[in-house]
Amino acid sequence: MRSYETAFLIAPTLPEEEIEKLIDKMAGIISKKKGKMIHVDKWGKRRLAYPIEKFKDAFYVFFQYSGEPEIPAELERNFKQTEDVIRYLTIKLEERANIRRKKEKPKGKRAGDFEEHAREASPSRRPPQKETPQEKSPEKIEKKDSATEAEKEKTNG
Amino acid sequence: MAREQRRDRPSYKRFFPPKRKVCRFCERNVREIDYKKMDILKKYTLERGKISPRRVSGTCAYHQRRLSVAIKRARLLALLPYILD
Repeated sequence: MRSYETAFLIAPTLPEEEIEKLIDKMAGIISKKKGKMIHVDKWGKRRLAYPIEKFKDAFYVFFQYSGEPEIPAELERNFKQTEDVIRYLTIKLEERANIRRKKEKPKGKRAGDFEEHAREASPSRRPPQKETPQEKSPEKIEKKDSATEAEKEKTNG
Repeated sequence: MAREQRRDRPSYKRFFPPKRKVCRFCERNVREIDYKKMDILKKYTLERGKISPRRVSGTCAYHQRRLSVAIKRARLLALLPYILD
């Protein structure tokens, strides 16, 4: 059992009752071959992106069904015979289990490393600062910070 | 001499680092690209109706393959034009 999707375009010259009949006929083929219709999508009359057989618009119909591979073959044979079907396309609907997913990379690994380094570095820096008189130390830190910020700005600019 | 001078000058790339493009299908975790959703497909075609290259749209290789198939299917059903002029 496989799932398929068949799309076909019906000529706009066909009256609506005839269109319904044609769709029913094609759906009948699927049920006759013991296929299971999943979904029928009728888009109705739509403008074509380019003229097909001198028609400027067409009726779009989509069949989604599952069954044996004879069904799409039989459907396509019928499409070829009926002149009112101006275009058709059958595709296999894949239902694969292996879901492709992006491997989640450890985000910003470099930044993390840097932070760790900073953490390691900061305690070693602090003790000597404590030894020095407390009034001076904040100024020093501020100066250092401002200097690094200025450097950063330079690199960014 | 000339070579040394050039080395001192900061490179073009450093001043204008290229913007990192991310595949928009990967971002939304899309697996299959439907040929019927032409409003999405249309965004990936150029003004002439050509499929936009990866270097322009930033799609990953996996989704570009799916996208090109979807666009070609849509073209067959006259949902998208082969050429626009």
